[in-house]
This record gives sequence, structure tokens and C-alpha cells, in this order.
Amino acid sequence: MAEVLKGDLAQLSLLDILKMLSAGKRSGRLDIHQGAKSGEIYLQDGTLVHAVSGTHLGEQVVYTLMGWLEGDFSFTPDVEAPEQSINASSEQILLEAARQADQWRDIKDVLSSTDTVFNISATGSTNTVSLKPIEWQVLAQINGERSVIEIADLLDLQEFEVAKIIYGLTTAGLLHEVTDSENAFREIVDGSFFEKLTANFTEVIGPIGPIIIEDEIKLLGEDREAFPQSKAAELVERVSLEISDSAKRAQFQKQMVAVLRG
Amino acid sequence: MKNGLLEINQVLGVWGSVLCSNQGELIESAPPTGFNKTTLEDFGRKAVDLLSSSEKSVSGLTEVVIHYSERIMFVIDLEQAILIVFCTPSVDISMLRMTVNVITTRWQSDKKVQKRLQAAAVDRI
Repeated sequence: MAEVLKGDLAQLSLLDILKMLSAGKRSGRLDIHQGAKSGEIYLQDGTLVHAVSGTHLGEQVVYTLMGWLEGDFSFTPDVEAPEQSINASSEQILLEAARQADQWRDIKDVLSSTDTVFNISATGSTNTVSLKPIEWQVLAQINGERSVIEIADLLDLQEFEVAKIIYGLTTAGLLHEVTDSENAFREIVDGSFFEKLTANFTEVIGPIGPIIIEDEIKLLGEDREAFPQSKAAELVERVSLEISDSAKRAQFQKQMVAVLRG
Repeated sequence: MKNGLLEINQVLGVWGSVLCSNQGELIESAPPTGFNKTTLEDFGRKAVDLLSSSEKSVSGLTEVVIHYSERIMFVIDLEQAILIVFCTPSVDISMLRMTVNVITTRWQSDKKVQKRLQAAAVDRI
């Protein structure tokens, strides 16, 4: 079964591909890849019958895949759908997809890609802002480190939905895009730092070590996954103060100063 | 002793360091460029004076950080002497404090260092 159609989503949108396959009454499987993620859409005589991505099934998957602005696609003809997960008509789905595509065009004015990272604006909004629970959930995940795509994965939401919310929060003045220069200032510690900190500290203080480290990370207002290099020494110093024996504390600090110096 | 000061100077943002007696006289130095002995001892006397006067109102005071003219002077009370570290504002104080602690702890068990500190020991001005 040869692929008859393949290409780049940045050049040809998924909506255009589906319109073309639907109009041509084609049958087969459309594979879409974006980094490590993938999705499949099955057509039968031009009708969308099944869509799957990870553990998700059905027409919502089609809308999610529509939100992938970058990635590759390939169409393999005459592959039968393993099941039917789409009950809405293809016209309905394509109409809704077209509506979302219009919204995407507005969203792209403030969100060039789903890899974009946002942070809370220091100035905030000049007006009173009321948030829906889902908007609050998204806002709570904004930390100047997570991209739109990562937040969508974390909350198990569609990228389009998260992007739409971030677009709304940004135009309300609550968020701003993190620039490369901001990112450069916020260099993150590498994974081995926490391994060494935990191992050295636990050796001195015992099994409570990892709990103390977690507490101090929280007191610094940070999280382990995106811990800034600029606060690494402060974290080490704070946990070291839990070591009452001054010689052992100095020994621990010596080990960790060497780690921090790389 | 000199090696310890040179190690302190390796901390990013550190410009130089000196060890002074409790009357401000130089015991050992790895100073910032452009500072002569007279200037450093003047800094030493002022730092001792500051520590002494602050100790009267703040018990358990072991260090003072002075910000001046886009520089930072980090003063550590070692009881027998004082350590002054000259830094730029970019210095990571936690990194500096830990490095100083590692070195001064090592000095406590170094007989040569202890001998020099004892020889320089005088009452605080």
C-alpha cells in the first residue's frame, strides 16, 4: 500500500487535506505526526469514520489534530478503519474545523506556535477580570517555563482549547509571551543537580532528606522540574542549615559547591 | 591561608579578599587590584568597628554585607580575625557564604593557620 500523499502541515493545513480527501471520496488512513505525538484519521468513501490519538478517540481528536500547526502527514489509501468513533457528518466536522481555523488565525497573532511559553504579566489587567474554572486551571500552570502544548498535555485538554484560553488571558493583559532573553536569564538546573543534592543530603541527614529538599523548593516558590540555576546555591545553603553538625555541614557544602561549579 | 583566599576569589563576582586582625591589620590578602595596604587596613578597621558596634545591639551577628558604590563588601566575623570579601553585585551570596564556610572550617583544623591567627590575635577595637 503506497502512500499517495505526504507533506508538511506548515505548508498544507489539515483542514485543506481533509477537504481534498473528502471531496475526492477517498478511503484510507491519514497519519499525522508532531514530534513524539501522532494521530490517525480514517476515511471511508470521503467520510470521516474514525480518529485516534493516544488514548483519545472520535471527532474531538480531529479538532485537536487541526490545532497542530506544524508536523508531517501522510495518507495511505485503502486502509480500513479498525472501528467507528465518529458519528457526526463530515460536513459538520469540516464546518466546525473551519470555524476553529478562523479562530486560530486570530490566536496566531499572539501565539505563533504551540511551543510558545507565557508568563504572568507584572502589570496585570486594568479592568476587573472574571475567570471560568478551566481558565483558572490554565492560568495556574503558567510559570514562564511550560509551553502551550505542555500545559495541554498536563491538563489533558485540546491544544486549541488551551491556546484559545491563553489568547484570551493575553489580550486581557494577564499574560505575556516569554522572550528568548527572558529564557536566557532563567537557565534551568540539569537533572543531575537534584540527583547529587538528594544523594549527598540524604547521606548526611537520613531518609528525611528528600522531604526537606521538596519543602525548601516550595518555600523558594519554585518546582523541581523548572528549577532556576540562579537559585541553586540558595537551595543548597538552605537545606544545609538543617545539618546541625558544623563539620558535616561544611563537608556537604564542599561537595555541593563542587557540583554547582560543574 | 593564601590558597583559601584565592579559592574564595574564584567565586563568580568576587573581586578580592583579605583577612584582618581585630584591629584591622592585614594578616593575609588576595586583594582586588588597585588597593594598597593602607586602604585595605582602613577598610579592615572600619569593618571591625562596624562589627563591634553592631554586636552591641544584634546578638549572634556573624556577618555584615555592605553595599557601596556598585560594589559589595562581605564581612565575616571569625572571632580571632575578620574576613573581608570584595564583590560585584552579581555575586551569588549563598555560593560565597558556603565557600567561605568550607574554607574557614578547614582553617579550624589547619595548625599553621591557627598558629598565624593566634599570633595576630588582639582584642577587638
